[in-house]
Amino acid sequence: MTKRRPDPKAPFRDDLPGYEVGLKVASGNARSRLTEILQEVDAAASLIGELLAKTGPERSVLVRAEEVRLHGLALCGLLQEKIRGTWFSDPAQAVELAELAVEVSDRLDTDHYGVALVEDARALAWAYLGNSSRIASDLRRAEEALRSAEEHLRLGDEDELTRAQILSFQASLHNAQGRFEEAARLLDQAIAVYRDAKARHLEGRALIKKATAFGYAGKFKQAERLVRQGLSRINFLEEPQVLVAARHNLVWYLTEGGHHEEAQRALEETRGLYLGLAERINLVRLRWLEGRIAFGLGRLNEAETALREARDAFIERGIGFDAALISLHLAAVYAKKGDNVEMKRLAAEMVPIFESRDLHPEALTALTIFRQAAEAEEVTLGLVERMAVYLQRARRNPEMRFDSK
Amino acid sequence: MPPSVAPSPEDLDRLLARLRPSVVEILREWEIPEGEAEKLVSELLVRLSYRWSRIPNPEQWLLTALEKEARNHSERSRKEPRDD
Repeated sequence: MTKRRPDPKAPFRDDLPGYEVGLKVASGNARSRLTEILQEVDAAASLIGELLAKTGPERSVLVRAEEVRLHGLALCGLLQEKIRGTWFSDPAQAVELAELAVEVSDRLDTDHYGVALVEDARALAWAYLGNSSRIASDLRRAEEALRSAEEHLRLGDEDELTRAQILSFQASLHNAQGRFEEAARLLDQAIAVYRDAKARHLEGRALIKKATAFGYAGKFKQAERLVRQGLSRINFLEEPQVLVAARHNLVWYLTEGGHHEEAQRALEETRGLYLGLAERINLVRLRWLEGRIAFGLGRLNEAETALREARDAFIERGIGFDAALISLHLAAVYAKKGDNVEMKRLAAEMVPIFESRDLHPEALTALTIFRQAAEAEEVTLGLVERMAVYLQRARRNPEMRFDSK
Repeated sequence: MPPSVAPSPEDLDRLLARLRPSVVEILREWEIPEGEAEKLVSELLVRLSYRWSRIPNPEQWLLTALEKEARNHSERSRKEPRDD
């Protein structure tokens, strides 16, 4: 910690107190407030149940209750936990919960909590709304909400961990917008905060996220280096799913970077984790990776089987974007084989993908180009690879267009 | 294991006991009067308690926040007009 005394040349004043009394009183004050905090946490736990059971106007009436004004801070914390749990399973619900958290934070009593805590809670509520909107593909709203989060942060005590959280969400938004360098720069700031705060696990997560920015930008070597650094810092027991996701990304960067044998070895080391976590969707992603590695190693039949299985599993779950990406990876297999019959069949099998609701119009336009090229037997490996890169980058950016030239 | 939602009174006592020398050093370096120090540390302990579940290293957080608040306090009091 850097110390800068008011006047570094002045001698220490020996008339300053030893603070024995002050610290004792401060500790007593905090202890007496703790009972209140614990009661608030209990009240918030029952309040959140009531709130979630209601809808629309009834919910707003409840938010305006006195209880929320005085117990809302703990409620905001609980809502954040709920939002994190629904981000990827139900993005629309996450947005709804985040809007509720903003409403609750707006009602907090500054006399009761103090400006610092209230503004910090508001900053976090807006930040969560921003991130939820980004996941729900509403990038404009995400940007506005994150701007509000910054404004509230400045009005409070500018807590460093809150700042790092906002930076991290902003970086995710930049990733979604294809602004990878800016995303990496923001993450550097977040990483520095976590390092200073000795928050090793969070530092690891931010490094893994920075690796994602490099991965999206096609800089697989840097992405690999960063994800390894991140992996050395995260606490597996705290979030086992982060470990699996990071190991998955590592194998992905190795594969896309052309290091297929190393990717194969890393995959074998990770297989147990996938199986241990036993999440069906992770096993499907594992199959996808196996297909990509087999393709890279020239084992085209094996690649075809694995990719077909993975694609069918995504179609079955209505996850159109991933199904579309795998279809392009399958198309790469057929392009390499020179198999126009299978290529046409693949294009015909894409009908359910076109009907899935998570593909935005620009992505559908790109896939239409692919289908037309398949029909005309004009698909090349180059076209398929460019299209796959586009689709990956355009996942959460509905405005990004595919350049077919 | 997820962190608990708030510290126990013993958590706070232990924390303050471990950090007492550093806390006193910061307060002395920024020449914070006893009454102000009491308010400042009370306020920070309350903030810390509310944020307990999301602060991975409470000791580091408290020292960083105290340094920042003590510096702000010192700067504010030097800007204020004096009667003498």
